[in-house]
Amino acid sequence: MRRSTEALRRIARVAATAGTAAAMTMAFAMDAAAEPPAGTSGLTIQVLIYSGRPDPLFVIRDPARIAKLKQLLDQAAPEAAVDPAKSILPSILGYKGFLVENPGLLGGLPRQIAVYKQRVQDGGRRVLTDGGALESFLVDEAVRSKALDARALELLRTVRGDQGRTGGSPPS
Amino acid sequence: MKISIKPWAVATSVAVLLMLALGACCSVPSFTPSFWNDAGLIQSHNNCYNYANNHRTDTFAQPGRAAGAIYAGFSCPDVLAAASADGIPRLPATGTCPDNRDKIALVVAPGYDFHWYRLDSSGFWTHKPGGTDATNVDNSGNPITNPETANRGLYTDFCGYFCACSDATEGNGHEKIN
Repeated sequence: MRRSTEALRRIARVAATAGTAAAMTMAFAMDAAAEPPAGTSGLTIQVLIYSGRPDPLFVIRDPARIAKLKQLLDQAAPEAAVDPAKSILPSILGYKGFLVENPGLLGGLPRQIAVYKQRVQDGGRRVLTDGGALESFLVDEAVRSKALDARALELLRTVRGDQGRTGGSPPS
Repeated sequence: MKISIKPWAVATSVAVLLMLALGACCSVPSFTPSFWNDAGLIQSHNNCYNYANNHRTDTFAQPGRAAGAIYAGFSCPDVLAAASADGIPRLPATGTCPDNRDKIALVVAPGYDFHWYRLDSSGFWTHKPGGTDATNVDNSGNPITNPETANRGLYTDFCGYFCACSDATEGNGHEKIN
């Protein structure tokens, strides 16, 4: 009887430990899933360039830059030939585009915008084409923000085929 | 009051305690992209290391971080050492993973980044490039029969193989990564 009671106590201790571990895991996961760095006061842009290490992030808070992004998005035209249910971001090794997070719905922009080469996809999964203007704007903003180190910048330019450029374009 | 202990309850308890003490059973996973490609938290917070180990942590797991020995650079020796610190055994000379462990492969873009592949029960290799979709094709769009010869873009250095304790249930791998 005493042995059985002790066994039950051990099981209870293991269960309590497992419960604590699960709670800690959940808390960590919630922390990892927290709002992007800009929160609701800006746009957080992720440069999708790596696979294993975290991708570089930068933030746009300037209302004029946000308005410029909105202007470029408005100029993009719908692309009917693409399945809107599929992400335009390629699952490849190397440069995979930009992801703009806008939890504050600033500037009349959608909550999320994906950009890859000539294609743009908003949170509603609409696929648009803009000749690469939005991507160029975001590359310049990444350079301006110094989010990319020299090697990452070189990598981005190499895969985009614009190695000849030496810096971001001046603010418009 | 008399308390009776049922033999089946004791047996179950012993089995649970043994599993906790000895670790869970490993198995080779199947290609189940729908688990990872949720266009949300799972997809964006789990990378190639999570996918290869079939372990969802939502922390964009980094080799060596769980063991307090994260890689010192983006070279084969650095990332191999970090993964070993996480307790994942290297593939033995026989070329076969023991104990139903799953073969996973490490490659490096020298100076930039690392990447992992896993071997699925289908016999094909699959991977998850960063926060994008888990996929069964390489940079040329071809199924991956051999990660050493697959189109890997700038990930030119093939580092070697490990044997991960994966699980048949997606996301439930048993390696201690973070």
